[in-house]
Amino acid sequence: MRENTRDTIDRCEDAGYADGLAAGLALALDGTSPGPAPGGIAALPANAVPGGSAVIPHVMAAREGIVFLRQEPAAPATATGPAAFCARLGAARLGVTRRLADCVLAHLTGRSSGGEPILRKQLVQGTLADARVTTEVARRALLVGGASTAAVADVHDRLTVLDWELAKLLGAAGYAGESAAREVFVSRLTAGCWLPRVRVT
Amino acid sequence: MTGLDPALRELRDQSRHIAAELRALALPLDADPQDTAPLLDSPALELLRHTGTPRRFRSAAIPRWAEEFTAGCLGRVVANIELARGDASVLNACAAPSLAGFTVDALGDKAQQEFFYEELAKHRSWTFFAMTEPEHGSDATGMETRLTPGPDGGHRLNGTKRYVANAARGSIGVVFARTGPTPLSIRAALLRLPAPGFTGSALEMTGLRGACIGEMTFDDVSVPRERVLGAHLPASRRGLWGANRAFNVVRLQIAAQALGVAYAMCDLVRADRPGWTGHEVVSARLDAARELLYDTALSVDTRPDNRYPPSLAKLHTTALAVETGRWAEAALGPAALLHHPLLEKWCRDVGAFEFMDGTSNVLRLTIAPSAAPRREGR
Repeated sequence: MRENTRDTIDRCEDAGYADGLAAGLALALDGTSPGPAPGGIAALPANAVPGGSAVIPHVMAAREGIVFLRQEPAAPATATGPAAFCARLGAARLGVTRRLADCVLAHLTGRSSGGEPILRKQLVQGTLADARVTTEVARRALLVGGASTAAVADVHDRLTVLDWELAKLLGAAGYAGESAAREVFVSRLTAGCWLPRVRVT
Repeated sequence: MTGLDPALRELRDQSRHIAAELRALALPLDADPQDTAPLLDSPALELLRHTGTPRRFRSAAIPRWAEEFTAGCLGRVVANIELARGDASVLNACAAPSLAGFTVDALGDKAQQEFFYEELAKHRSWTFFAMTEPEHGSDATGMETRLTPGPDGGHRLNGTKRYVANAARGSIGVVFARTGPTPLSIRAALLRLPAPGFTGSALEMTGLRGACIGEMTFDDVSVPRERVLGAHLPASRRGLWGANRAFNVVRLQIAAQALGVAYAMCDLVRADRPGWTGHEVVSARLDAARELLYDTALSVDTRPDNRYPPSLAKLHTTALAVETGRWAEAALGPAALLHHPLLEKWCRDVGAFEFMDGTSNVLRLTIAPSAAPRREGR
């Protein structure tokens, strides 16, 4: 059972890493039904959207092959939900986070500031080291916490934070023009659609 | 607490009124930042343009309360918080002197200031401040853009700048370039565009799209001798270092805008959930940050060369704005960012403040103590 779960989680992460968010999401959805989106808006790979759907236009998402569509009526948000699917989605997001980390390393390699290679700056090294730790811990948390919606949501939240910490290392290059940082924002929006998050009380 | 005097309270209140006009432009501008007609038609932006212009160069009078905006750093902070609470992207789309104006004020002689501001008044121009380069960011030690002597007694400008606001649509501004190998040889040139050899292009931005950030390429662009700023100043004050005071003010303005967006996000949550008390911790954090900015503004007015206070303020409020976005998303439940397009936009917008005028890591290097603490006072 655990091996099956691990295999699924690994494959979703690999798809997100190798082919991007849409591919990872497609694999996360493969063979499972996430049920109605808890907020009444589903995020799907563009090639899985039924014709005539009520699509919410979103330029950044469209470029990543993700479509948001309204589902009526919205399912009531509950504390229990499709944790297993959300764990798969978390793995796909983890792969996307690793793509971003690769972009950061590629961007920083060869760059210097004040005459010193940026990759040797302690503040940068600290962020990259912490990113590796968070990545390894998140993978295990998805594996063991896959039955707990709260545990899976926690992983998603930590990935959102990590994505921003990594994107910051790209500076303006992560914000203007083509950038992997755009994909992680869509990744955040996608998670927001599927996590059965109860409004904080 | 830093109590605001009556004049500043009126500036704050009037800025809130203007902010509502900025808010109305926010989503259309995000969808199509190249559509400038609504910006040029906006009375609010027109007022802000005149307000940001030094009094002697204004082509129209402004209300008395608006004079407080530029009377000191505290006025700028008070106004920027409230205006960004309307929408920071629209605020950054204003065709105002902005950072180029600060630089011309600090480094330009009387004739250069007249040239710059008269051009602005005549053409309602967007301005540019070209410092950052593709390979070196804002690291001045690595700057490659060069200003070299030309055959006509003037200069030739060659190089590429990237992540410059109004790069493609600005018609006057300043470009920093190297005239020699040392940091003191970095000078600012006043440039009017279009010009032969210049190419400007806009970049697709994740957020704060009103700023229209882009790339500028200079291929042997002619710069008359009289357009190089700072010739009348001592060598140590002619270039980058002469503009440091201006950078301090701008850094604090950006900090204020980040806080303004954070307030906007909190406002949205409170409006969606009337009576809910779960905002209290966040609201308290925002109010504390506002106090920090007010205190910092006063310190910038008294010690304008001290880079530490504005760096600390910007480091805090940029992070706070990002965190407030995540909190608002969680507070509003599933698909919150898609149910609330303004919140989604603001969550993208706040990312821009991270790299404007110093990233968090650059600011940390300014803030970190470099010696054992002194025992007296704080």
